[in-house]
Amino acid sequence: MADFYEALFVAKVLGEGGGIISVDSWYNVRQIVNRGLAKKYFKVGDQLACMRSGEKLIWDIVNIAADGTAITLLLHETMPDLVFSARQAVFAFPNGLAAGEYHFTVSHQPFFAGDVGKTISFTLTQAIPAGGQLVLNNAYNASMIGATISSFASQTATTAIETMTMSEGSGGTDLGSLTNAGTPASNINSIQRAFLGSNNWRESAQRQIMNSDKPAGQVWTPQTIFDRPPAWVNNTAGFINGLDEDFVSVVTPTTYTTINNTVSDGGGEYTFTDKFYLPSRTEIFGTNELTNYPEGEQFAYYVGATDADRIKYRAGSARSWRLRTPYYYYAYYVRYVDTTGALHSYSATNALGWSPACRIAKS
Amino acid sequence: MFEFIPIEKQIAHAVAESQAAATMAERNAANIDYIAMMSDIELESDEEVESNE
Repeated sequence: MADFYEALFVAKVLGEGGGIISVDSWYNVRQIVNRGLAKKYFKVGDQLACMRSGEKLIWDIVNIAADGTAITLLLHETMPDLVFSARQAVFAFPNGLAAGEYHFTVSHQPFFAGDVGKTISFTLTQAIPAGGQLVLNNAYNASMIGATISSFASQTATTAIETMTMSEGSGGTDLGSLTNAGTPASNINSIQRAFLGSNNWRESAQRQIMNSDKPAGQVWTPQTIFDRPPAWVNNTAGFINGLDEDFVSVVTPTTYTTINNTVSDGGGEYTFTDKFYLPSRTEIFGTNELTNYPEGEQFAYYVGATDADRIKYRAGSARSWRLRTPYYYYAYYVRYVDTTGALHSYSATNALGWSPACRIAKS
Repeated sequence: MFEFIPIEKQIAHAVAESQAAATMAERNAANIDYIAMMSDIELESDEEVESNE
């Protein structure tokens, strides 16, 4: 059967006068796009496969550049579930914080209205060193009163200096107000991110792991003063770790567009360059999260697709797969494709499947 | 490792799998019929034993 398709393929390419480059290596795929012949050799829906640490990875060709100089690949299945971001710190202290009594005001709390307007106090018995943080411990939809808050010596520290009980009160020094937007200039995070993580793709742990070739424990580094270690920090290697080197060597760094949420990140868009990236809402669904801000163009593979066409699997089971697009009106919700193929959003702290995209382009 | 899987090959593979599944379903159905038939035979046989007693 393989010989038949090979013969069919050779006949097709010869018939179109494209000359013959044997499609038998990643190097030759690069030669094909370098000569602008991708449309002669490939069709959207064709698949290419490589290995990663003993696992065969199948990539769908989801887009071919009109001039034949690039193909875009999207992993056919999903990778094991990961969090997009950890719960973040509520306060950061680049210059440290002395021991003593402190309070802050809850101006916004979208998940527990009972705390809105309350002033919360606690007492530090040990100073926080420069670069330290305070992290809330209560569930996002529960009161802070009677719950605890922990101090950490750094963004990477996983053992708290101490854990203090919070109570209603205004004693001691004012640390400021908690809001949905946060006040980063004053080292106060978005309250949404202090509970449910950040939906900022550029700063995400998810983006880091997809573009890392490091072993477990060396992948993640904090991207903001509020960042905290994701749950997978010590047990998951970077996606490039164990990936076939001949494949990685032909993957072309791609500059792509992503929007910012309008709550804490100011809206609009930014571009970023990576070898591997999550697809956007626009690229999969053809609709924009923010009006007038397309995040790329819809992949040809998904033009006219039904929900069923967007379902991805891992080991035979339908899995949700994360997009890079933030839900524009929140600081913590990230868009994803659910197990029915529909568009949804989920907290950055929830673990979901993910399917990297990448390009092999003329260079 | 490199592998190229043209969409035609994927479709052919899916069709072959579908046909194999259909064949298996037919075989299973045939097996069920066979088992049912054998069960009938056993029942008749039991009746015969009873009648012989």
